[in-house]
Amino acid sequence: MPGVVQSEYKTLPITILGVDPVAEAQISSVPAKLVEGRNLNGLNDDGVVIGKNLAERLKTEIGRRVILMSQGADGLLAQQSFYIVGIFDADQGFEDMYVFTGRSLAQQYLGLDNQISQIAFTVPLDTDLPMVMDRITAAAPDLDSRDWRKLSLLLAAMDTSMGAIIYVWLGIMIVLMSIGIINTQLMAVFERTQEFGLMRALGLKPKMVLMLVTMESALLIRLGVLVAMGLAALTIWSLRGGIDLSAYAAGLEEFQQGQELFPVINPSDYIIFR
Amino acid sequence: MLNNPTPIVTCKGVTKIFGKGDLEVRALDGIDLEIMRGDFATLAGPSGSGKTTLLNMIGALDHPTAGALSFEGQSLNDFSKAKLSDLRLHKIGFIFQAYNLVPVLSALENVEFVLPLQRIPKAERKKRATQALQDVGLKGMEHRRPGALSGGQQQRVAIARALVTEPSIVLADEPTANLDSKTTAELVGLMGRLNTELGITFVIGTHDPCVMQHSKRHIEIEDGKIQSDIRN
Repeated sequence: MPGVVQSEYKTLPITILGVDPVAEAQISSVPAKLVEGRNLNGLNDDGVVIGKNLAERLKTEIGRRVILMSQGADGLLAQQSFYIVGIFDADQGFEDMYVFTGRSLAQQYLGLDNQISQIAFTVPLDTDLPMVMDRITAAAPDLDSRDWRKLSLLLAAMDTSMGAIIYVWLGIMIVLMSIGIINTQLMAVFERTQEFGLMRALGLKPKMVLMLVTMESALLIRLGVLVAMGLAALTIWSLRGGIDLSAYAAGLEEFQQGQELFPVINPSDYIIFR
Repeated sequence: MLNNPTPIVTCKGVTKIFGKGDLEVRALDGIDLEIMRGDFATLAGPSGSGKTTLLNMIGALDHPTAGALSFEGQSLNDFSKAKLSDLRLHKIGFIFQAYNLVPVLSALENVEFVLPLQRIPKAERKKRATQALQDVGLKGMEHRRPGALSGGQQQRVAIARALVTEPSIVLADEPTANLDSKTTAELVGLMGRLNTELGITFVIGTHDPCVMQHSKRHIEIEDGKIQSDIRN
């Protein structure tokens, strides 16, 4: 709900979010970014959690009071005083924009009874998203249901272009590897001209020599794949603590992304090129 | 020598030309030759005279540009590559100047190398390879790799490899060029004994007077033509 927050010194525009703290912890990264105070502890929590930058701009702190003002369900100005119980540290835009409080209390102060404006779900696998959306739409056809790609067009466009870039990179890598393999094979064959000549002189048919080279190549490729799979697993394992991306934190925060990247490898990645 | 020798290889007007136009080289120029069963022949001549080219023709490794070549009465001119491979596998043994053994295989394995292609059972293969190594005086060295053998011993392994398939003819191109005179004499003696005792036909391309002295037939070739063919 759009509104304003007022301290003793300043009044600033914000969006008020009345949340279920238990459910919120499962879908939002904000509770984990708390740097001071505590998180909301229930639907009726009468405290607010605000961003660090907002707190600084309001010249307020934990334990002080702020007044939230918004238009109530009846069209009149609704306002209520809240104690600041927690401060979170996210990106600046997010810190300035959102103020969290208990859902029941927010409904009560805005005169919304039990009405809620938004239900968020997390879907572990992005590939399941269309199926989940279909089920949600079928279950609640009157509600406005949108997936993250429609809610955040920029992020969706970024994701799509990143996917395309990865495929381009993979294509380049495959071409480079192919050139390398062809080069190695040609060298291996040309350097063994005398050996193949001897085999032919001893009575091996041309197709037998071809089969020999093919089988040797297949064996080398198999060994190479096994070694590469082992090295890939080892690399991922060595990075199990995450890759520190704090140098790019400001850019990543624009997309609500964390500062650490945790690489994961699935058995299916070994079997299918996806 | 057999009482009624029959020809193994017959060359009639065999000509081989490499290159074209100004770069044309007439390596063999109308060779007429018969290699008889039981021959121990040396093919001598200066470098570039056509010795190796003629050995390649006799060994079914190359086709003549003109002329007819037959092996045990069969014309080789119409043979496919696969059929020529079969002929080399079953009828012709090769010995090379550089031994050409497979370095990662033992002496026994090198000798056995082509026997699976002849579909000879495993036990028989081992028996024949062991016997061939024994025939060339390498008893007890079956499991040594080429690197652990002297040049003369390696060439003996190559001879055993050439003999193990029981070929009609063994062709050797400068087999003693990398060996000292003592080893050369031993090796020539060995080939002579194999010829006399087992009746194996040898055609040896060589510069080496020691080899020529031991031969029963001496063919002199120059500029792709046979200059002389003398039986001792």
